[in-house]
Amino acid sequence: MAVGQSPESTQVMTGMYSDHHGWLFNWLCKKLSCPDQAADMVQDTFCRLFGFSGLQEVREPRALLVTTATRLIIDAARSRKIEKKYLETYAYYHGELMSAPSAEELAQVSDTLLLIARMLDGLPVNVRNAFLMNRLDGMKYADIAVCLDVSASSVKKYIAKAMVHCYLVLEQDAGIPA
Amino acid sequence: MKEPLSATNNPRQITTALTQEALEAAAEWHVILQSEDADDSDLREFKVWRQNPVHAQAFRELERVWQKFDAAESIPAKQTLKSFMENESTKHSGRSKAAVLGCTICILLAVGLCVQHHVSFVPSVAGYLSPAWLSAEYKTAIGEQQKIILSDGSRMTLNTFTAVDLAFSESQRLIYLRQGEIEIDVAKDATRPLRVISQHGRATALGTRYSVRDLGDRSEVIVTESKVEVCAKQDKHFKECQLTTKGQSASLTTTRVTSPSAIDQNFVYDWNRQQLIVEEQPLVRVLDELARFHSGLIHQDQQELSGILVSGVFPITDPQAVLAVLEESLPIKITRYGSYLTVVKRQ
Repeated sequence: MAVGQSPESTQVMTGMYSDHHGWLFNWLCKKLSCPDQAADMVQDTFCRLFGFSGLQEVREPRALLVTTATRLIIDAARSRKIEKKYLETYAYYHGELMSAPSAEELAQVSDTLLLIARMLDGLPVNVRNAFLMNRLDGMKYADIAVCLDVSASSVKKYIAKAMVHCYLVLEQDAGIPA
Repeated sequence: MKEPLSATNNPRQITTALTQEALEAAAEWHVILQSEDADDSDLREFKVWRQNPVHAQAFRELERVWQKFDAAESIPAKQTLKSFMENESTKHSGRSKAAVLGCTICILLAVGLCVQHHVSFVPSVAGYLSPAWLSAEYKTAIGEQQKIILSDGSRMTLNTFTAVDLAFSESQRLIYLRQGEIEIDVAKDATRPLRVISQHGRATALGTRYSVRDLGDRSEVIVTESKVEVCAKQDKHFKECQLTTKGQSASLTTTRVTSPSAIDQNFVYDWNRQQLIVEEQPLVRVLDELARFHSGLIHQDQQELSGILVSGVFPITDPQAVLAVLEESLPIKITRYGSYLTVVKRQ
């Protein structure tokens, strides 16, 4: 993230931190009712913003901080759910023959699935399903069309739409936080 | 992964040059090139289109999107993602989680593969090449079993040589049994009925436990708890229906459903333990059942063996072990020619 940081943006970051980190901590404390978690979240929020190239142009830093922190809170909650679900599914498939996945594997899977879930957020259910059936299950357009009860040309449109959508989310992720 | 934007130090600049139009066209190309009907002329046209650097860039960017999903390809990761996404959208649509994940009911379903001739035959290698099996969303090889958690929380077990496609939507949960046999623990969801569809018709769960078996020319539904609505296909009208209740079975063809009758307690398949439990049943019937789990041929002369009755509990997924037990206890002789052909004769 920090690659390509100009000295100027680092300065803006430092200013932002000293001006608002106390305020953000208080805001998060109320939100999370747990000071330790709030302190961690303050660090995470600023870390997240450290890579943001448009920091100089931000007019409402507190609004940006709140938006970023809120998304991190949501991500953390989703991450826990994904990890729990993955462990359940893993156990279901591997039974007692295999041990649980390693902490690294779990973290990696959870990060990846969280990113994917974020990319798919906001897509209509049919569009999302068509894309996943194609991408993850390798289903043909005609078969997806039968499953979703739409035409094959709709399926193609859905998949194209999902790809553009995912790209725009990735792009936003890389540039602008939140 | 390497960022494809390394040509410049400022990714934003390039990105803004990627117009919505270029992205949409690039996405269309991805879809076209992936398609089976893509031909040389498509490829030529694509190459021309890609000569524009912005187009080429857009295409590469979407490739990057495509690759982000690589890590979700393992079955547990895939199931986790689907189940997670489904849960989230369920929440948004205001349906209560409890309704979806509440109590589970059981559906048992089976498709017989054997053509009931003098030779019990399970399609071997050639069977793997059937379009239904190849293109199915979930499938197992002969002798294999696989467990899958569906997006609604239902649990599905695929038995030997089975192919299944799913079509879950906002209004219903459809499970297409292309071939083989599945068992499902259905997560209850009052707003979305769960239907199992075979080539002959469908069986709709009405809060119950039941089994469906496809016997080639007909399917058989056996209800062990509560009620099931069994409907013949009838050009997809599904109007010819029979309400079948606990302890009954109904037989259906594509046009008709028979009146429900009492179920056969003397020939039971226990899914969880993978056992066949039979009481005073013809040996030929047991051998036919066994053949479904065996990747070779089991050759038997039905006339010669017709008088022999069998009782017992058999580990059906291990056909060779069952054959050994049968040979020991019955007046039969079993000859194996390699692993492919097994001949059963009267001693």
